[in-house]
Amino acid sequence: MNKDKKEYQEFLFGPAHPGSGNFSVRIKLTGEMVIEAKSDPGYLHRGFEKLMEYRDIWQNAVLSDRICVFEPLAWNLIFAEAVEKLTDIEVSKKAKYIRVILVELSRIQSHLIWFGALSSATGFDTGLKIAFGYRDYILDLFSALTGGRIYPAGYICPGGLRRELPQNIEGRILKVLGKIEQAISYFEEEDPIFGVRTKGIGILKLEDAIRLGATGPVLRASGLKDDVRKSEPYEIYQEIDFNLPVLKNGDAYSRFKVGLLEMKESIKIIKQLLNKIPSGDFLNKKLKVGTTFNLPDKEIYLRNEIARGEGAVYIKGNSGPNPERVKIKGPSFLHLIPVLEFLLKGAEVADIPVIYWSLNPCPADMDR
Amino acid sequence: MKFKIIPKLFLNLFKRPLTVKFPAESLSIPDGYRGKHRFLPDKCLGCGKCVQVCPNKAIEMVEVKQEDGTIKKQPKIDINKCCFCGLCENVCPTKAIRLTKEIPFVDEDGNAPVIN
Amino acid sequence: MKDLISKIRAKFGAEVLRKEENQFWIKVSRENLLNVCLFIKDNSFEFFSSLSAVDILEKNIIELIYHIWSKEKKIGLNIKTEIDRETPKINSVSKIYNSSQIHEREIHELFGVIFLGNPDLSELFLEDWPGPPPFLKSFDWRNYIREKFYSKGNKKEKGYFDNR
Repeated sequence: MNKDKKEYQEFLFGPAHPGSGNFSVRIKLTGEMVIEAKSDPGYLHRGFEKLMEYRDIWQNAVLSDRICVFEPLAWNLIFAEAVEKLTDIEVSKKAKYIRVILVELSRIQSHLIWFGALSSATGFDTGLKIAFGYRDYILDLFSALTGGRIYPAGYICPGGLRRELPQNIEGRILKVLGKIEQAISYFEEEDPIFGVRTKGIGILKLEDAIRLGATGPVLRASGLKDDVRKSEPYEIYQEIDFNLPVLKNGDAYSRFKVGLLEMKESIKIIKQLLNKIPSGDFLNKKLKVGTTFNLPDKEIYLRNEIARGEGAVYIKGNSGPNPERVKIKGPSFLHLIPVLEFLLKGAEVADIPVIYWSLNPCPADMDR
Repeated sequence: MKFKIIPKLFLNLFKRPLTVKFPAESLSIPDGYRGKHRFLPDKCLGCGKCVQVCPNKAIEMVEVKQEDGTIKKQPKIDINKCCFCGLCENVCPTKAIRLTKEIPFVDEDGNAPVIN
Repeated sequence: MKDLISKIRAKFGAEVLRKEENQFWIKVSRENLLNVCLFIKDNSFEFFSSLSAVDILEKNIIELIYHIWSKEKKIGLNIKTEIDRETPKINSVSKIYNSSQIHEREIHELFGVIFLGNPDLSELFLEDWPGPPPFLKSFDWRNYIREKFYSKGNKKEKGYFDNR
């Protein structure tokens, strides 16, 4: 055998929906080891930044929940906060409480999709069915509050909320939280086969994570305690008492564990807020849903902590109803191109789905 | 060896399944669900605000002949393009367009169900 | 923090535009950008958040904005520069902040800006795109789509031909 020249084969870890979402990676292999991986994004590029330049504020609020399908309420909140700071609109305290409850419920629901996909990547199909079955209780709750199961059509809008809360919703939210605690107890039991397939795989050390730009649970599983909700609090996060789980190993199992502990913290946050919702109006009295107003000639840059990491938006107005430029930054843009290419070098073929799904990817965030 | 799984298997026999036997039983749709539109032509003023506010350009004004011979302008909604956001309901001054709880169906050929 | 801003102003001739709650907006010239980035990286500004670009037709410039944050002091710094629209070239900061390399690749594809020193500027989202950079204001994408994909005779596509 000629040992100087190594022959390699090229594969496509392709864009089929149940396997990897709408994203593909070109992989060069010798035998069972990966030499080089190159990401190939662009299957979901819809040109959001240009679409938003031709629509006014209320139409953009409806459009902003199609940026990422896994957590539309979180993107609604970023866009609404940016417009409120540009035009100095006040939001009542009651609306702020309900907004934070909805965003934390959306974070729990997004983590459940992550666990379902990660279990199915290791061949553990029962985990997929448990996760998606318990997620349905949260979607029924969204359907009663906002009018749609997945897409709320701009429910969190500039100025507050679009409609009033129905009666006796607090009791219903508490029942749903009880069921989610049941689902977490299923995921907490240590299964030996799942442990062998995820412990020690895809190790990301702290210097590499900071150098390549990782944020969110990926960074917290490598050892740095950092969160936008604590360092730059928005809405009412400065009055709430919650912890940040941090682990040190940086492998796929630690990222999974950080996600589980974060779900418990979110349940704690919702229970603190449920009893204390004050009374007031749900939308600022000077605004009416549907009638537009002009954006001033200023610019703003705003960041939020969504379930996958740090999301940010940059808006510039030009004294007209349409914005001049909107730039959206999603956390998966950094996780899927530099971090994934770094982690896949030297890995084995059977570990590729585990490494990919343990980074909590969302191809819609990356391409927008 | 893990024998902890046996009492769990036994208790699972007495739990309700997570799924629902459709169509024998079904979940109820809550109030406020954004479904198919319902249009009341007597209340419509013909102002055209719903055409301007729609994000997908799904509404178009057409001229309809009334019973007494006059011609009035009314909106025509294409369900294939609508995203059911409800902005046309919020903007109409006389509440002539409303969203009901009915689930809409779309079909492929050019005569999509259009509300007039 | 204020003495850091006054040092930047004294050494590199920067102009402070405004200060919001915990963000500063400053403007530097194109040649001084690398030196400013080297200076602030030693002063705990280590996290590169994003890079935005705005195309302004009236003044014939493209404006680039670098958003950099410090996790220790919990303060953000937004640095603005201007480059010429006819020959858009600027030095790359990817040797200083490694995670800025992928942002520069996206802006090269969509706006046509050339970053000197970036190791990889190949195409990212669009495949075999023959035309000019699509996000510039001089490219009328609505006319391009109407000529290439839509036809007036089709009943459903008729509505896209009125200018709204």
